[in-house]
Amino acid sequence: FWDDWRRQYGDSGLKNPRGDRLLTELAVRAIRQLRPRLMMINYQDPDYVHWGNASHYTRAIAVIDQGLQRLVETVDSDPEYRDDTVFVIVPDCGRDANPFMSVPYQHHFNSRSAHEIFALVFGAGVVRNRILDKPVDQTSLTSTIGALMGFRVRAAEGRVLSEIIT
Amino acid sequence: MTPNAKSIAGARSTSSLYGAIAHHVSMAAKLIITTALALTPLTALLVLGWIVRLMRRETVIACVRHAHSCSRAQAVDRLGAIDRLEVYSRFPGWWSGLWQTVLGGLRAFIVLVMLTLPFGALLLLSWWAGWENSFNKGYEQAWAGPAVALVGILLTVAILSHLPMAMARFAAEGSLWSVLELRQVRRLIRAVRWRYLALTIVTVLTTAPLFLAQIAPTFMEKINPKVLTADPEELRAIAERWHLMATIYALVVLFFLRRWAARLYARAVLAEPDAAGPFVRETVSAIGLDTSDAEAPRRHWTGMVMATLLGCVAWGGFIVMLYIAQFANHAWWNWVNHPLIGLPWVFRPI
Repeated sequence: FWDDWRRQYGDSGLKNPRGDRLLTELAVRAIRQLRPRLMMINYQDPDYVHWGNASHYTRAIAVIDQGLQRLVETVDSDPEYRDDTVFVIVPDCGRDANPFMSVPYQHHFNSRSAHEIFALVFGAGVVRNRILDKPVDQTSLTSTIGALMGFRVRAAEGRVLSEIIT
Repeated sequence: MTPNAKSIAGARSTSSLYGAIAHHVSMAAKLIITTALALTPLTALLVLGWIVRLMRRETVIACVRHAHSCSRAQAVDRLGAIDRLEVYSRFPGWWSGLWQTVLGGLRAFIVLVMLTLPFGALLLLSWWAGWENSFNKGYEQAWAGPAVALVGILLTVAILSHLPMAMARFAAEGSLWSVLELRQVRRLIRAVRWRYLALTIVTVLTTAPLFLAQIAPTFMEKINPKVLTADPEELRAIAERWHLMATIYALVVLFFLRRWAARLYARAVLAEPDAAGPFVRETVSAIGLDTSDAEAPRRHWTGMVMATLLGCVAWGGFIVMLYIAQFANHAWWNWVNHPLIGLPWVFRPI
């Protein structure tokens, strides 16, 4: 995997994509070469907003959006993964919605909206076109992913979100 | 006491009571007007001009007190008897001398921009460019942001170490270039080095509540849970209350700090008459103070180095507080202005 990477991009670090685009490129190559059954991609760049540039937040979300599009296309173009893959897209935490701050979207200060996130789940075995409009704990996703993959996650604290499983 | 003496004493006591009441009402009105003007950046220029007039008056009073070894009240009375200095016997009002206030504010703003914009711009640029470069993964030039920040920090400490005395000199002399006479400013600082260090430390400490005020909105939900359900008008009212309290605090502290700096300037120029500008020389001449035999302050180099270093440490503390506050609640304006250093206006996002 890394030999192929080096053959294509070398060692200078100047040819390969960087930041969250790098994560997308690595994920796409991993899907094609390593054939994982479970993969977690931890995008990070929206966190740059902590340092004051509001545009870093929106630009980073756009970069992640483009990355997700590429990942979905990669999965859909692969016969083994098509129709047998679940995507779970979820922020690790929310953001403040503090109108008194010049940059309202931090999340260091335990505000209510910093604890409130969304989750987007689609793919095989997931109910389509349904909005589950009730508060659930983020830890439920772990149990739910296990259920979708056919095993019980004994150490997970949250419940299985059976409402979204077909 | 005879009945006539009693009635005269009673009349005097009534008149001085009315005078005291009128004085306090007048001061309260001035505080209200000053606060209202400090709420916007444009009108804060007038507050700046008024503070400059206040500082000049304070320098004159301090010169008279030193010349006659008298109390403040006595010094003010003496000023009333000297033609050229009679105007300084009265507290600067808003309506009397409005043009001087406008002009003084504009000139003071130019001086502050000259002195503080270089380091403020470097700090702002280092922050913006450093994080912009980091976001764009320019690892090869990751050193640029921190390097510019370091230069900005060093420049900040160097300039802020001079600023209080330089501004006091400007307020007294009225000359824009007086703040750039670095050798004279340094001489004056050396003449009162320990008192100047005390002023520096108090100045830095008094900036802390304003930095806390900058951080406080971050915790607004905890401080005032009603904001979760407040409509835009209610949110604006909360922001205005916060802004008003911060502004009043800044003005009270400025009133104290700037007058202290002005008195220090007077003490320094009387110890180092050669470093005095034209206005102080004329003032000293008008009050009949002979400074020709003023003993030059003894130069303890160790003491001077210690005082300078401690002053730099104090301003370093200011910079630490600035970075913490900017991380907690970032605002671009706060890199280039602090109400106790520059324009007496507290930035508000809403």
